[in-house]
Amino acid sequence: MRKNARLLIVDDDEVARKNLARILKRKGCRISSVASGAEAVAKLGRESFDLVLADLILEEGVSGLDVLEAAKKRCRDTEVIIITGYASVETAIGAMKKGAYHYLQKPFRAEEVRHLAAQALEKTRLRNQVRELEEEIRSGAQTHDIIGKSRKILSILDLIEQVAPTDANVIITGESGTGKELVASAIHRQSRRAGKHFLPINCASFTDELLANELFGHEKDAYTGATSSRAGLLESADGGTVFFYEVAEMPVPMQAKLLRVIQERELIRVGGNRHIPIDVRIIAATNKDLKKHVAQGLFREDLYYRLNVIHLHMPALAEHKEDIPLLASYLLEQILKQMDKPVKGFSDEAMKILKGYDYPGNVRELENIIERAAALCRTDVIDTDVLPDDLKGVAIYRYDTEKHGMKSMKEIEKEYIRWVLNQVGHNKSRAAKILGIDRASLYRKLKNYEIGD
Amino acid sequence: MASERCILTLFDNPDIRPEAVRYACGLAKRVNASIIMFLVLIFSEQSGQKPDDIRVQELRTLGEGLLSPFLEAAKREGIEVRGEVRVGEPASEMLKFLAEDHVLHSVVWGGDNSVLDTKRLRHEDHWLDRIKDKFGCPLVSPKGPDAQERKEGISIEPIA
Repeated sequence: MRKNARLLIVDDDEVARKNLARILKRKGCRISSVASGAEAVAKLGRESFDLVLADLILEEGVSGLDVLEAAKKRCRDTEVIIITGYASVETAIGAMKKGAYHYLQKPFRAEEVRHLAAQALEKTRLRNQVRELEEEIRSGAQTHDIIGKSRKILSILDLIEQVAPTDANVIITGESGTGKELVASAIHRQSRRAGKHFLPINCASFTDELLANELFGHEKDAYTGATSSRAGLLESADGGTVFFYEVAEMPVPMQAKLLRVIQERELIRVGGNRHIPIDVRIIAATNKDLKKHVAQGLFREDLYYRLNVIHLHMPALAEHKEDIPLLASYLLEQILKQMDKPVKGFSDEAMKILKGYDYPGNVRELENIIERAAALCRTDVIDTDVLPDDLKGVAIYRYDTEKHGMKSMKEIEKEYIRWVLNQVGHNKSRAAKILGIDRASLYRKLKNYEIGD
Repeated sequence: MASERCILTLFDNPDIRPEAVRYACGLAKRVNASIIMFLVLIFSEQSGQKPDDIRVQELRTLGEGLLSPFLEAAKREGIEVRGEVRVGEPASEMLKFLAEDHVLHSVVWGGDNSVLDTKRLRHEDHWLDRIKDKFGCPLVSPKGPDAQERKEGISIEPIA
C-alpha cells in the first residue's frame, strides 16, 4: 500500500473506527477518523483524501451515501469503500453504482481491509500517473512523436529544432527500432516543406532497375511495356522531403543518380533525356557504419559527404532507460486506441522489469511487449504475469557497438604496436625499444593481440 | 539487394544453449525478424591438422543434426529460420559470413555464457571478443539456468 496516502475513516462505532485505524496504520498511511457523517462532510470540505472508508448507516441523519457524494464532489479521484452489515449488502452494491470503489462487510478481517484499501489506493495512483504522463506527452507531442525527457532525447529534439528550418541534408544513424523515421518525419513536419509530401523509401527493398524506375519514372517506350510516360516518386515529392532508409543498401549505380539529384537539383527519367528540375530535401538513415561502407567501396564517398551535412545519432533505448515509463505509457495509450480494454497502467513490479531489460530491438521491441501485455491483461493493470518470460531473470550482456569512432586503450595499443612493427620492418628488438618494453613483453602482447609477422 | 533483417543466433559448441534459442525466437517475434542459427564447429589449423573433405562433411552433418530440432521448434513458432553450419576457425568463418549480404538486427550468443561475462577476464581470449565490433548491431547473451535442460536434452517451450 502506498505510503503517506491520506485516509478518512467514518464510523459511529468507536471500536470499529479504532480497529480500522490500527489495521491500516501499519501500512504507513495518514489516517483521520470521525464519528459522524456530518463531521466527515465538513472535513471533506476542508481537506482532500485518497481513500474514505465510511459506514453505510450512520447516526444523526447523514449516511454513508451522503459521505460518498461529498467525497466525490470534493475530488472525483477520491475512492470510497462502504462498510456495511449483512442486512444492507444490497444498498452497498447500490452505492458502488454511485461511484463507491467497493464495499466491506462487517465483521471484516484485517487482511481483507488491507487488501481492498491497497487496491483502491493503487487505482488512485495509476490514475494520477496516467494523468501526469498524458500531460507530459501533450506538452511535447505537437510536432513530433519522439517521447522522452532524458538528456539524450532532449538534445535530439533540440537538434531537430535547429536543423528542421534549414534545407540541409541529414543522415540519421542508430540501431534498428530506435525511431529514425520518427526523427526524419519530425524534421519534415517542422520545416517549410511541412505542407508537402514526406516520402519514405526503403533502399533495401528494391533492385537497381526497380528503384530507378520507381524513383525517376520513365519515358514512353523506355522499355518493353512502357506504353506511356510516368513521373517517378521523386517528382511526386517535389517541394517535400524524401527519406531514404537503409541507405547503405542502395545499389551503387543508384547512388550516382541520387548524387546528381542532390548536386544539380534535377533528374532525368529512365529512357529520357529531358532535365526535369526537382526540389526535394534528402534525409537518409542507416544502422550501418556508412564510413566503413565508403572505405570498402560499397558507398560513394562524394554522396556520403553530400548526405552527411548534419549527422543525428539515435541512442539505443538501453542508453536512456529513464524514458521507459513515459514511453511505455505513451505506447500503451496508442495501443489501447485500437483495443477495447480497460487497462490503466503498469504495476510497479512490471515497470521494474520493463526498466531492467536491455531491448536489443529498442522502442519497436518495447512496443511489441506492451501490445502483447495489453492483449493478455485480464485486469486493469499490466502486471508481471503478462510480460514475456525472457525479460525476467535473464541477464543480457550487451556490447555497445556504436562507440562513435572512439577506441579502447587496448585497440589503440594493438594498432600502435602493429604500426611500429611495420615501421621497423618487423624487427622485434627495435620495436620493443621504441615501445619502451622488453622483448618478452612484446612477444606476450603479440600473442595476446594475435599480431603475426 | 539485401535480405530482410535477421537475428543471428551464434554457437561455437555442440553444447547448444536452449535458452539462447528461446530468447532469439521471442525477440524475432517481437521485432518481426527472421533467424539464422549459425553453428561453427571449431577445427583449428594451428593444431597442424588439416581437415579433409570427408571429415568436414562429417562434421557438417553432425552440426546439421544438432541444429535440426531447434530449427524445427522455431518453425513451429511460425518464425522464418534457417541453419548454417561451418567448420573451421570461428572468427574467420564469422567474418566470411559477415562479408555476405546480411542485414543483421542483432546477434544472440548461444555458446558458453561465461564468455561475455564482463566480470571475468576469460572472455578477452575468446574469438567472439575479437570480432564483436564487426557485427554493427547489439550482441546479447541470455543467461539462464540451462545446465539441467542440457542434461535432459533439447526442449523448447512455446514462446507466446
